[in-house]
Amino acid sequence: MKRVWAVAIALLVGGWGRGALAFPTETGETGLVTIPTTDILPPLRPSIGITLDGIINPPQTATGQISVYHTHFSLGIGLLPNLEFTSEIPYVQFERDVASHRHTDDIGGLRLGLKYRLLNEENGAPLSAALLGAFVVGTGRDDFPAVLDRATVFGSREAYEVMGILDKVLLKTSQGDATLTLNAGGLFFDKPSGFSVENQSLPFQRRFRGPNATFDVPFEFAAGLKLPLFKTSYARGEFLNEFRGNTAIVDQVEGALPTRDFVGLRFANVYGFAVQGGADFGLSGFLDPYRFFASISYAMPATLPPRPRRIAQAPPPPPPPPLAPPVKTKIVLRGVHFDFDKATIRSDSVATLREAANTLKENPAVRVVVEGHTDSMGTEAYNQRLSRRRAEAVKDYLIKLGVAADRLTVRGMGESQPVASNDTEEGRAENRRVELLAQQ
Amino acid sequence: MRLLVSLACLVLVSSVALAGDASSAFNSFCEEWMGKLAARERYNIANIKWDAKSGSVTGEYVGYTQEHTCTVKNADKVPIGKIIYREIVYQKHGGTIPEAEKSPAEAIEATEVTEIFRYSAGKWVY
Repeated sequence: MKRVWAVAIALLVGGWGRGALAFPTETGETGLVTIPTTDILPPLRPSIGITLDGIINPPQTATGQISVYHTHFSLGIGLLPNLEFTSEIPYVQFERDVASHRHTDDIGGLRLGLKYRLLNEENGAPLSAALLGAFVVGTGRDDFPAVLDRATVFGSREAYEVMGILDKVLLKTSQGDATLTLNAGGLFFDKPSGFSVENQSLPFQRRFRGPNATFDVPFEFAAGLKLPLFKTSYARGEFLNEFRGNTAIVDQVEGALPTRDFVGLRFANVYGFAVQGGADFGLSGFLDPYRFFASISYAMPATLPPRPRRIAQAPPPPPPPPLAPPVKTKIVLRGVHFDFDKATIRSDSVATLREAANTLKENPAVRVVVEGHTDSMGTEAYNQRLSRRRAEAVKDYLIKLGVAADRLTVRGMGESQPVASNDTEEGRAENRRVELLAQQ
Repeated sequence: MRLLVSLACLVLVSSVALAGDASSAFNSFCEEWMGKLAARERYNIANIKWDAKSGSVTGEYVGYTQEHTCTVKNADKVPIGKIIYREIVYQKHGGTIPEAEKSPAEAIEATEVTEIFRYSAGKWVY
């Protein structure tokens, strides 16, 4: 156990401060607070999450009054641009009978899943859609009930989970997008629970009996609203409701609670960290018991080079032939990097500037406006100033390379002319650029 | 002396290998970049800001030609790649927004764009 914590902490600490700013995709998809979104981790980018949850004031049941606290470790990694592997190891850290003071520790199920994004709103689709399929391997004791959430399947029971996920941007703001997330799905157990079934009248609930197996089908749905806060963080309010197929299990642990309703809040920042917390207040009318959960997760920002990938989408419809409008010319300098927060050109960018200078020297009659552009990180005024200082630095370097000073003027455009979305690191990298515009 | 010759050969072989890697990588990078532009154009079309004036609606968006050239220059220590294409401002008109959306786009401005990239640490940088 110590080793697991050590690895988790090392991963957390090791990942801090990797540089590029990018909102991580959701991690710690435990089904507790953070509901899955259609975000897909970029290829080879990992994310990890740790969640702690437990029952406060447990009810007296047929098996006693049992306090249960869990830790969940979640790990995900992008496999393809639209495919992500996700896994989760629920662990019962402490289980205690209030009356007898007996306690035991046990490991829960291992959840292995794949999430595939079918539609992406960023690519022009009306909304984003994804499918999540997971297999839960039972690893623990057989007599412990399937506790409390879809990820924590105990005992020798195995289960399959299928879930549909929809994301829709409701409002675009300068701080980011306000997004609605909807989930719906079910969990299919392939072995009998060992408990008698007392109530089969709930909606969305079926039970199939076979010669060797009993299938319970809990149905759940969830809704989340993501609201951007400033430009480096966002909050998500989430609601999750679950109809349990096997009410007998719920009876054992939570009284006759037919459904479970969670509300929670999640804050995430661009450095990859997210914290979330929430509680099950028994919105169905059962105020006791209630649960708490809190977690921290981390997704590595986009420091890895973008993987070349084939664009599978159809090209845009061919526009009508241009009516020979007057043609302007511009040169876009890519990969001209500056020291952080400064206008000092880094030495690795010199080759690009030298190429631009050669092009300008081949056309000595052309006057050029050097325009600096930034992404939207930081305030508008700051970006305006920074873009101008950087444009001036490029101008100075071009003069140093032999371009006549009277041919060059500078303009700082700040974040006012993005060419791509500022919501992704890839888009922000496209927006950070210097353009040389030939004046007519 | 033998050591110097060996080192020179090593540097030469490494440079040739780097240039080869950069050239072949640039072909796929170039296609990927044009794919980004196509996605950008689709986004622009889907997010046209319509201007309604005296019973008619007008909107503009930026598109990109699919015709392009990709060239790599290895003259310097750092390979330089260039992608050249045209950026075109299109305009759409109509009595209503749905009409304008369906109307053919008219090119009103064209810019020849040369994007310059450099190759560093095994990848094309932007």
